[in-house]
Amino acid sequence: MSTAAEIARIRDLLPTTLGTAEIRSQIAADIRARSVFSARVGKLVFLDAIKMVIDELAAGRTDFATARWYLAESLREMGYTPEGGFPDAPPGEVPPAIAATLQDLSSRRRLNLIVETQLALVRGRGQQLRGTHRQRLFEFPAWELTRAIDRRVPRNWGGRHASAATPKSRRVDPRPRWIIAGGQLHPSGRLVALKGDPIWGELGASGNFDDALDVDYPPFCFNSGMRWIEVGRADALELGIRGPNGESIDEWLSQDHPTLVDTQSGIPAPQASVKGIDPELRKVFEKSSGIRVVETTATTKGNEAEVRATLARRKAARAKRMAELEAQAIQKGGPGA
Amino acid sequence: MSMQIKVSVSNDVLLDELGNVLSDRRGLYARLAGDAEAFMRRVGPGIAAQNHRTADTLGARRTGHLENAYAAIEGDSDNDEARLWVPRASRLRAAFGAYRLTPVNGSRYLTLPVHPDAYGRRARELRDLFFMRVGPAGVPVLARRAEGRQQEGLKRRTYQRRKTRARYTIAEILYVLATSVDIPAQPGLIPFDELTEAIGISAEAYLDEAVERSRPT
Repeated sequence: MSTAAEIARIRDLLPTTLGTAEIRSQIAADIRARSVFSARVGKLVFLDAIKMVIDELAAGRTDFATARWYLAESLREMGYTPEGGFPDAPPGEVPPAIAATLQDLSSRRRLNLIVETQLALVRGRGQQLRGTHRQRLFEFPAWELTRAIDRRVPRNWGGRHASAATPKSRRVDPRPRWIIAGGQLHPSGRLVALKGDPIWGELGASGNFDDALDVDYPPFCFNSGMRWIEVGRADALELGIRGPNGESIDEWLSQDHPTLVDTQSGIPAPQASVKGIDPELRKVFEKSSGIRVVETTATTKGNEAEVRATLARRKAARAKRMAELEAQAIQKGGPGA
Repeated sequence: MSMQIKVSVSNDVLLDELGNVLSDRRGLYARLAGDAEAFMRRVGPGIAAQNHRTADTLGARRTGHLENAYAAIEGDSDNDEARLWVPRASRLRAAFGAYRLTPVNGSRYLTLPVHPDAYGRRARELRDLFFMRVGPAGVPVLARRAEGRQQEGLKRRTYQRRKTRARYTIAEILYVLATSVDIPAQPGLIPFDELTEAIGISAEAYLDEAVERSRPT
């Protein structure tokens, strides 16, 4: 069981400059509404349980272990098994998972990932809001991306994390994520950019990285272990940090900078993956929650081409089989048939 | 023939399009009927080409009656089903089982052609046919004089005690007359198994086209 200090630390991560409990709950509501799942999770009831858990965590009314326990109990009550999935899911809709692996929804690893990701998003968004307060912007105009938690197999963020331990699959593209996102590597090796710089959105864009969470704040992607550190004005000037088009710090901060967010609170538009959900149930869910149900980016990217290719293969197979059937029919219709 | 269609989807946009297709099935049934008809018309000539035994045996010119029967197959549909109509008064009737053929319209006999000139023609179309019985069983036939053909043989005249040579006029038998004929079953005339699978393929194509229409371009 986590201590009160951990719970307090969770509370401290929320933007105190915003003040009221109502704003904190609004942020938490927006964050939990943006539930990101893999394609295997398609149970609205479980989605609702996650929402409730995050609500409790963000409000400081529960701890991490209790949240994980609650989700595990919810899955048990729904009859979920790694081998069979949810009992009332269409056959084959949820592929069987090996128990205790990341694909197993009820596994400790998977539940940890769900809760940790949601909590990390709350922290990141809170830090972003706190950091973009007007007074704060002047004193600390930039963010530096650093590693907060070591990872057994770290992603290649700035070019210095790739090592012999890096899986071969990740060696295919040795370029640092910072470069892929359009950033310039500072000679010091530090990953620094002004607050609101588009690179922060690119780092968290699923169009660039399959594991990204479509946010412009840490953790940017699942289990990244990355965080922001605010960079003071003097430090930013010494490093020569400028805007994406060469703007000075003051020029940049005087402009409005659209980010990935499009809601009043600045939280990304709530999206939910409900792949495999009964359409009628989906409509009820949309109406009651206000969540806009869309295709997950993980499933729509490249999906159009895949569907067309599948349809073309099926069409060709049908034509071939039809020709075989006609030949068989003629052969069987001979004398004495 | 009944068919069960199972659809598994995971895309709400796709589901809308498939839902429209399956809720109003007129289009689906029309497609199935049309494709079944087209399938039979494609395979019919190939099957017919192997089934002109009588004409081939007689050395007569094929009449194409079986090809015409296949060409007469029609498909139609409504809100509830698709149907394939096969002409009953044709050789294709044997595809559904054996049957007995009997004279109609008050006729006493069926005329079975046994001569190339008789194949594909009605007896009334030929002139100078006469009825006679042949053989020990007295089989009734329709015959004609074979023009220019005579055969020498021995003939006993009624008032003579011995046979003398004479010339006979040959009679050609054109039709054997029968009161009924049993036609054996020939299920291969309509490829039921292949037709069933072809209809299934047609249904799959129809639904795939619905999927194609639902995808944004």
